[in-house]
Amino acid sequence: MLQTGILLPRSTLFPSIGIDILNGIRNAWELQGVSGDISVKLDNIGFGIDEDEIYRLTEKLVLQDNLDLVIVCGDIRIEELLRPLFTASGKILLMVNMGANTPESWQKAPTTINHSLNFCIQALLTSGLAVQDEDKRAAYTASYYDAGYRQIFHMMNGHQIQGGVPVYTHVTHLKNENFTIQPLEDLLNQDASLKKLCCLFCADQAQLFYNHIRNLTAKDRLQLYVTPMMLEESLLASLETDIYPLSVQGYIPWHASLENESNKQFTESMQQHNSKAPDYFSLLGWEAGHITGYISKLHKEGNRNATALVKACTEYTFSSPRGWLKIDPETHFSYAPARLARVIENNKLEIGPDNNDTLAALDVMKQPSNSPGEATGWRNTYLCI
Amino acid sequence: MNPVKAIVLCNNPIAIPAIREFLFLGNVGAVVIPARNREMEDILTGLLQGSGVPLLKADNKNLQETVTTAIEQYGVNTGLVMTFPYKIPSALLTLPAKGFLNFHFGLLPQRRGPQPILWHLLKNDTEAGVTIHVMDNGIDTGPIVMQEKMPIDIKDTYGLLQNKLAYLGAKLGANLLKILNYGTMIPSSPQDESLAEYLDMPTSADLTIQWKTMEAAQIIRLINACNPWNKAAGTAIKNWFIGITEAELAGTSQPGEEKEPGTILSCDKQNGLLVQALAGQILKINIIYTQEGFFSGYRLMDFGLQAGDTFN
Repeated sequence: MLQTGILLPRSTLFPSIGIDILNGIRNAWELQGVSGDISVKLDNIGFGIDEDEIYRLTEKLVLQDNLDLVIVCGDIRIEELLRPLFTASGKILLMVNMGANTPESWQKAPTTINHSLNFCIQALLTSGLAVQDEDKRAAYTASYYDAGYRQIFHMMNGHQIQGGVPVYTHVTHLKNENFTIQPLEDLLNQDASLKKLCCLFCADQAQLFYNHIRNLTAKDRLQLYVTPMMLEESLLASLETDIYPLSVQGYIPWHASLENESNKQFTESMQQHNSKAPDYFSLLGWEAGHITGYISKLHKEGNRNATALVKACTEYTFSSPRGWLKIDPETHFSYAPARLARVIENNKLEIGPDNNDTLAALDVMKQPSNSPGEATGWRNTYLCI
Repeated sequence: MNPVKAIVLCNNPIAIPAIREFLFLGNVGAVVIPARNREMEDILTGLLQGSGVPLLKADNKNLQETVTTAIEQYGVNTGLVMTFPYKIPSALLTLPAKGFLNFHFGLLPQRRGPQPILWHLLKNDTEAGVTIHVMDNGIDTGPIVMQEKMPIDIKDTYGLLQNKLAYLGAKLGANLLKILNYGTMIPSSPQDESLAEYLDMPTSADLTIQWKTMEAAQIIRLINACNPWNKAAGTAIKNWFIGITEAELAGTSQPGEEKEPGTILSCDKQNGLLVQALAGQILKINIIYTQEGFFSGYRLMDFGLQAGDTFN
């Protein structure tokens, strides 16, 4: 019996985040037939910002409860803190998040896997699209909240390493009541040739952004290159009016319409067991369930060495609704294909071609900053708010 | 929770970024330096001003007494050591409740000893790093709590690498304090003794360029490894011992024109000081050090040297 613990998050923007992740995990175990081989202890880590609480809960699961594996739904920075505990105890840590942050050091820990939906990879690929014609200029815009993640760095970097020319950076205020894109509007009015915007928003500020941008006089010439949460289906469905014909596109990790057996199983499983359409959070849990399910099978066969189990995961290609999922042996970060998507009528998405070379994007992200010596203390370590 | 109150023992500015971090976090009870380290005394006097944290001085004879008293007087429960010249007496190691931890500015177990940064450079390692380990009676032998590696850049001098590692140490130190504050135990893993190597202080031979056997890249590494603490890597020409402080690769010789390694190919203002290295490679010596001072490489011509003369 593989003894596991799961530390689940809470979110005001996404109230069901914890239960969605958990449902995804349990459904994946059920599908693999390993539910009976895995025991679970659950706890909640709130918004994922109290390092003290997370460390204490994790230490209890590892040392007192002597669990084999702990899934922690938290920011990548928490992993650096937990790393010595898992390395020393020979237990497996599976960090799970959306992939909106990248670590300060890519050095792998022998018993840790970092699993995510690769939002930074998709941001990097998306902004690279903004240089596909002769016009290389783009302005960057982000919410105050999202700009606290390294996703914004990878969005800017993805544009600039492809020869993109940055012309402006706009960041909104924290509070929705202070939201404005007036500086961006002024810029677009002054610079009639500027048409490309690389955009990083989520949830309510993404709604606000779309509602404002649609009303700009410059909207007809604009091309928006947006991050995955701006193409999330429930967000698009919640918008009062159509975004189209505004040009909005970007890479996303997954879409319900993807035609592969794993996605079919995932979608049916969520509907059958939870009466709910799958989403990014249940996908994250589903994939974490497949990783832990595979570990459980090896564990049952007698492989009890945490380092060897993690290594085995790096040598395996997991079935995933995204097509496939691999774990980079150099960093122990997971990666999967990305899909190009664009907004069409009725705020629906049209899914374009796959990008299967996401390992190359991961390699780009691992490179040291192009601006050595520059640093920022602007951090947001919340998993979600 | 029993928050960390640390006594920090240090001897080198490499500790300063970490101490600044610890002070910010409010986890320092006292700082101890060797009695005759004026540089650290000056830096720390300024840094600790207004913090309420005492700066103590100790020599090898009174170290145990000084630290024991400080542990009692300032409520210290953790010892943090960052390059300290004296061995911590065994009786002290278990005195603070959380024990003593050493910040080793090199990768363990491969680079044990007092000069890990230097040996990372001299051994042509591709990575350096910081290792924090629980202290035991050996030297750099205790179980590892955390370790982070960083690549060594081709342009890294000893001083540049030391500076980078100082900030890496501060980052790791901040995480260490969190673990000490939050956890009930210090997670650590024993060192792999099969990989262990103890490297003592270098000899003068270790710091001297061997033109006949060292590749050009190796010579540059050696020169960088000596900059700035040793002023330069040693070499001799016409029975005159001088140092080379900075050099770079400057191409390769044309086929058939390769000279003996160490041969001066040019020594003038226009071309600079170019020296033949192994495998046809050419080194441009930018800065030299002599008893008379530091000079641009080509200024060796002022001392009567010219193309054709040979370093040995």
